[in-house]
Amino acid sequence: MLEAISQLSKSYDRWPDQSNAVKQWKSEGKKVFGYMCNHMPEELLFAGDILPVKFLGDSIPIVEANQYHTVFMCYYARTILEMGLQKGLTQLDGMIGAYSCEGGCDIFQIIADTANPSFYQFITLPHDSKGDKKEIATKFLVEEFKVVKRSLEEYLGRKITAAEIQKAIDVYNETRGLLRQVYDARGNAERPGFTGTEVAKILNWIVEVPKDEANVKLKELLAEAAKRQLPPVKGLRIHLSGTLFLDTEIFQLIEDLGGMVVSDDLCMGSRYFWDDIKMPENPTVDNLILAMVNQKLEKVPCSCMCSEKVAEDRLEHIKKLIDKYQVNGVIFAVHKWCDSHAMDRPFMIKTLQDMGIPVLSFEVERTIGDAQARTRIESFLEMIGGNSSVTG
Amino acid sequence: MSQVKTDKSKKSIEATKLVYPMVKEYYAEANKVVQDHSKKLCYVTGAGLVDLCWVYDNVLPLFPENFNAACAAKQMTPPLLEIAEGAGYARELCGYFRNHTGYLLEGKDKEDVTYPGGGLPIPDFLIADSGSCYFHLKWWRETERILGYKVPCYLIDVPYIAPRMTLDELEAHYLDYTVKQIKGALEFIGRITGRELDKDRLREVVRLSGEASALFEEMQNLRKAVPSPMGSEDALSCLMPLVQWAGTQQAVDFARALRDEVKARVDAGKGVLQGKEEKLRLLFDNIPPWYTLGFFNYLHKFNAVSVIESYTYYFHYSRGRMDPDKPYESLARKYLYGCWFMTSVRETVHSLIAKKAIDYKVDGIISYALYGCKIATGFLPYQAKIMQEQYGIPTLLLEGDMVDPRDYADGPVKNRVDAFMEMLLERKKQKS
Ligand code: SF4
Ligand code: SF4
Repeated sequence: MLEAISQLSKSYDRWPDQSNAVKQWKSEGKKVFGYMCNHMPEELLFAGDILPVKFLGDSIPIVEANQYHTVFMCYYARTILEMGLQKGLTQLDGMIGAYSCEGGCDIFQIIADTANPSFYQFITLPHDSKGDKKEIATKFLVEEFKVVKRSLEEYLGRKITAAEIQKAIDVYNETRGLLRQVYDARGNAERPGFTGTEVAKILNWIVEVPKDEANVKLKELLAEAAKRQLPPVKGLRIHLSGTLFLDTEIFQLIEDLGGMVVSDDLCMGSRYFWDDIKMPENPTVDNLILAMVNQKLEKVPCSCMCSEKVAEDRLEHIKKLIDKYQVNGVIFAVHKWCDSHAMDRPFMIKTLQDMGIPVLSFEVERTIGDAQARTRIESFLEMIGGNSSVTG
Repeated sequence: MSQVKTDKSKKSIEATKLVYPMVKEYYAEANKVVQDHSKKLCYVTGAGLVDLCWVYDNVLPLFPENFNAACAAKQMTPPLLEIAEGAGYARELCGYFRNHTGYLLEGKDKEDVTYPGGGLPIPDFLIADSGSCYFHLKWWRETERILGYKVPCYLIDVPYIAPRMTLDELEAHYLDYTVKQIKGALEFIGRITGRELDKDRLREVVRLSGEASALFEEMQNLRKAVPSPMGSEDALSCLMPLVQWAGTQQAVDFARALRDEVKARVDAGKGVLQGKEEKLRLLFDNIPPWYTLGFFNYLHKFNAVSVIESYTYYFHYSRGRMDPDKPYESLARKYLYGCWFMTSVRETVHSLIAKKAIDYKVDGIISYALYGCKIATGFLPYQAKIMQEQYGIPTLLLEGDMVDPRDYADGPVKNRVDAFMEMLLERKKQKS
């Protein structure tokens, strides 16, 4: 593991109250907001000098949260509720929800109700946004983003200007571009610049820290990666499909077994950063918001979307990544109770299998150990061959 | 597979006897239409959109949810659920979806099985709204895929009403977005049926839809009476006409007959327990286990009646008459109400559950947590806590599925009900 990547974990924590990035930001008299879903317009917050931190969840036991929410929901979201109930979200000044999956909408209301931050806002994401629906979906989401902007302004007691939004978009687009370079470096078949586990750690860190500072760091990491002499992956090159994980165990395990995650379509992976916001020629507030909305509605879709052929679109993205990063097998590792992913999965698995790509699918409850996935991954990797290890 | 022990319900309301022939006739018509193509068949989702179908006289809307509930009542769901699960759909998904998908994938081709109403025909088009859940939209998209993209589909994405708003003060873009999609859906149906939109007919449908709702609401209000004139075992069986025929005279006639009967019972002081003292009044919350509606009759053993449900409130737009002169806005408000009902849980716990519990003088709540239905279920433990701590009303939280009886354990469920009833009786004794 690159020393600089090991060091990243010092600047953040899965529990926002323990995060140094949060402490640092607040010590400058600035606000920190928590959010769960990627559809939340981070750039608007950053433009208002608010640090958006994504809830990462944690592989903790659920103690109190079961008295507030049924167990019929992904473990990830339930651990956020648990953190709040254990007074672990007290440093967050605000929370913004985005209605992506319905379980998330339901539990986020309880998280906000019980943690009771001083600012709370919720936006509805249009779920059917292709073809004839594009125009009205865009118009609706523009209004939702404007509501977010207006309510932030009221909260902050000042306007958020076009120049600030433009700058935030530039910073975030730069992050996106750098992360794509990170992926290309990891995916390099002859000389990988990063391991799968390292990239997972970078992704966990990037959503918790200010992006302008992170960009400087990312460039340093890329420079180090370019100098590195990692051997090519001799085992299997895996694409990982799902949402997010509460630790990096699955990445490590695959490496221990001789393979490597070289590609993904995770919420905490390529879906987070793959598509840039197209900067408008005339960057007025309205045009900038429209550009942000277009990116949300046109990006690689999340499984919660209900436009026609969403699973097909998701597959297109996966297929491109399979080619780009020379993937040998796909692993679907999705949280139990995550309906939208469970709906897309049968079709996606079958299509990939029909293309001759080996697929493994299992549900994750807490950690992959709990899901008895370890044995399944082992036999999957054995079945499709390859057994040498990746070091770093 | 072995039969799971469940109970059929016994009815006390005459109007329930009208329902079965109506449903039978409707399925017979659907199967006739398959042969003669006299109408276009479509799948619609519960509560919303059906009004839009009745605007066109050559459309027959079909409800997969009702078909699923009917399969459950006949104990026919397990093989269908297994087909869906065998095709890779997780068992944690909505039971309605799994049953319907099992039917579409293989079940419908099984010649040795007689399905309710002779089976659910394959439609000519699909329409759905997210008023109850986004899952519905995913489900319809999956149906579209299973049917090989040969059946066109239109979805109405009804937005979740964020906490900054109330139903009375909706932001303009919420209404606008919903209205535009309603217009889009009507155009879509018009294209498929080859008919121009008849605006007078649309207004008439809105008027009738509102009238049936208002009558049903009147009937619901009558149920506040002590003793309770109608329990959940009857009320749940009376929903279908309101769901299926919202926007038609048929629904109005049924709702009126039901209202009249319940009113007569209230006037005569006739209660569900037929003269026996009504010791406990309960609110049943969420979608019921359709395969064991006798559950509600079981409560009578304790001189208890489930006097009101949250579920039945979902299906009538209980916010005043719909305005035929503003047909699009009326329909939009109806669909937005549905979405609010299902999704805005922080508000509904107070303005819906607690309000009903107080208005109907209930002693306890039975919430049925459906593992497949994330939107209607996640919040229930918190709701129970709020109801206990802020309103002093206890909740029994049961878990299961509305159409999948495979995990249903009659004995343990009844043991829990027994203990809850005893606790409520004891509590009441101490209070008095
Ligand atoms: S993992 Fe699935 S269920 Fe959980 S928040 Fe994400 S999309 Fe929703
Ligand atoms: S039961 Fe729940 S998940 Fe299933 S269709 Fe109804 S509201 Fe949606």
